[in-house]
Amino acid sequence: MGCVVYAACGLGSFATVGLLAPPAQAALGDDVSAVEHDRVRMHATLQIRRKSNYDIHELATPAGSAVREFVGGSGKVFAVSWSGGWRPNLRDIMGTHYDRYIEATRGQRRARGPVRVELPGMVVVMGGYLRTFWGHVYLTEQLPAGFSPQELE
Amino acid sequence: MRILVIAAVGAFLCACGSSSHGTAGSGGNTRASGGAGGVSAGGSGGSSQASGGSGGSSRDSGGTSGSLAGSGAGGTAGSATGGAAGTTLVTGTGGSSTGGAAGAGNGGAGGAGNGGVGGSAQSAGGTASSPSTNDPNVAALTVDSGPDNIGYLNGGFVSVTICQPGTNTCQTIDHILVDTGSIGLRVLESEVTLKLAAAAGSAGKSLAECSPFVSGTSWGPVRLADVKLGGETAKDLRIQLVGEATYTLPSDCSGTPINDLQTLGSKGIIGVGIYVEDCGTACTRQTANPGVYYECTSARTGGCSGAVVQLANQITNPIAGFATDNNGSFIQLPSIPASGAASVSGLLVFGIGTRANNGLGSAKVIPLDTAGMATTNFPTGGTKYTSFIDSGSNGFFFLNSSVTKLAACSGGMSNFYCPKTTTELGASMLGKDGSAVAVTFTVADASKFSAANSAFSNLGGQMPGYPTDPTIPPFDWGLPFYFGRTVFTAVEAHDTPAGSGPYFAF
Repeated sequence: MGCVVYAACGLGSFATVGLLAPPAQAALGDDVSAVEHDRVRMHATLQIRRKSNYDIHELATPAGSAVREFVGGSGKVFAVSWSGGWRPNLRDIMGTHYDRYIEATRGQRRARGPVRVELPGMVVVMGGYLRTFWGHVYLTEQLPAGFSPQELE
Repeated sequence: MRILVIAAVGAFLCACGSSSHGTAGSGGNTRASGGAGGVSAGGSGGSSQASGGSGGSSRDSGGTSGSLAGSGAGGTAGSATGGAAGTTLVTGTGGSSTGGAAGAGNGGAGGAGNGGVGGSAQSAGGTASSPSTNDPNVAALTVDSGPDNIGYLNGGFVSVTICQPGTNTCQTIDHILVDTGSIGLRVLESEVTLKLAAAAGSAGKSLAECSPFVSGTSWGPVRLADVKLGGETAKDLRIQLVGEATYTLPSDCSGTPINDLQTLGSKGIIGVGIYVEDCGTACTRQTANPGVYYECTSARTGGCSGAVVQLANQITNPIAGFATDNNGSFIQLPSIPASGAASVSGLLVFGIGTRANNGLGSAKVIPLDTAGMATTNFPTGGTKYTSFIDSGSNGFFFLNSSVTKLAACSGGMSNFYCPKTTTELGASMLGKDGSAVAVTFTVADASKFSAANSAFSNLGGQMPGYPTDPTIPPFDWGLPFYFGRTVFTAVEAHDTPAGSGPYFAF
């Protein structure tokens, strides 16, 4: 599991960052410079963990949810995962990819249970139970070289 | 969308007479329900047989994920034969205050199960009795193909009566999905003809909610109603009407809309999980607000914005809203054949240890962590996994093929398991005293399921995202877990004979 890899390999370093709010939001495919917008909007604290070929910007919200934005060497967010008390706004998470996700899933009756949706260039996984929600989305074409989706933590 | 049509075969339903106190079971009551007859099972006893009807089936996988839908018509005839050895519940027959209750018929043609020889159930208190729909704290629960035979697979439904508060102006709505994985009653706006008062927000505005579910989001206004289930009433309950007719869906209410019959697959959802309110303290604080509640002006469009809502004003668990029998509930479903069943009759019983018919008996309490999660070891005594019990999930969703060694289905059904041979598996859940509570369960080839059937105790699938994302709980014990078991849900901060909720027990 990803968490075990991080802990065992000791690749990550932690830094708490506080910046002034840039104007745009950070979503899938967006620039890292906008992560701070998300931090402010979510009233969250931010930790950055640096890996050899990408960074994880982890936002912790007062509601007990965590949103992790994975940023590649190009400075773009290539994956976002979430877990905790409530599901984050998926429009904010998916950015320009939100509309096609909704179009692809709208109107379908899905049996209840956790879901995995594959769209061209994008994978979405989500589930939930009572006050607990989890999920992740990543862009398959923008994963850093050597990145395995198993590293999504 | 990929559609599979599978030849229909008859359904075979085992049934059991009631069997508490080790006496002969009594005959079941005949109840009309769509589809073939099924029977609530408790101890051992009579059996009944029903031949299922026909119907096509579709499996809607959306090309992607694990949706599985059938559209078979229900069966038509139920015949009962008494006296034969009946279904044996997985949880055994001992200590049963949870014995079976009623035989069921269907469409007027069903036979009632004659009580067979009673099992050896012993009731702990000596006064326990089997719940039946004649009791005020019991509602009939049916697993069938859903409203209009929409093709729901493994959905447990009840009829709910909603009334204008304090009046006898009421409306009964069938096919409300019973969900131990959510909180509160939500009914499709399009199904509600009754005029219900809006729940007030601040400054003359009215409350609405953007409710996240596993795979989508339900939007609609919060209303006040007296909610009747079986013989019990939750007065002035806050419920949600699901739909976009009253207020336009706000752009910041994200997620795939499930606001109509087609996408919801039921006429509503009744969330009877472990919490009292659906959101809890997160929605009471501005900075932590998860964007669930809104308040709206009277204008239909554009008049809704995010709101902070105190606990007392949130959508509430109907169980907790009852005057009595409000500390929890249990679901009781009989065992069903490996080939599935067109329709199965069970019970939703209110209260835990509050009456002679709702004691815990020999059920083992499963404690939960602060997120409502239980611990499952798989295989028995093996690796420990975070897990949850959820009647609203339609299968066992657990781990993945490489761990379970169960073959995944092909094509659009790849989230489900399709083992060549039906496979019995063993797991255990961590009990209250630290003991292991055994769970045996079975997974069959989902691609071979009969289109005529709507209930399968052996539908399993992989947990999407496992092990990619370690925050994902690897085990979802869905509705199949409930077949052949009596599964209790104790509500938080409510006392029960086994201590305060929340917990599950079975």
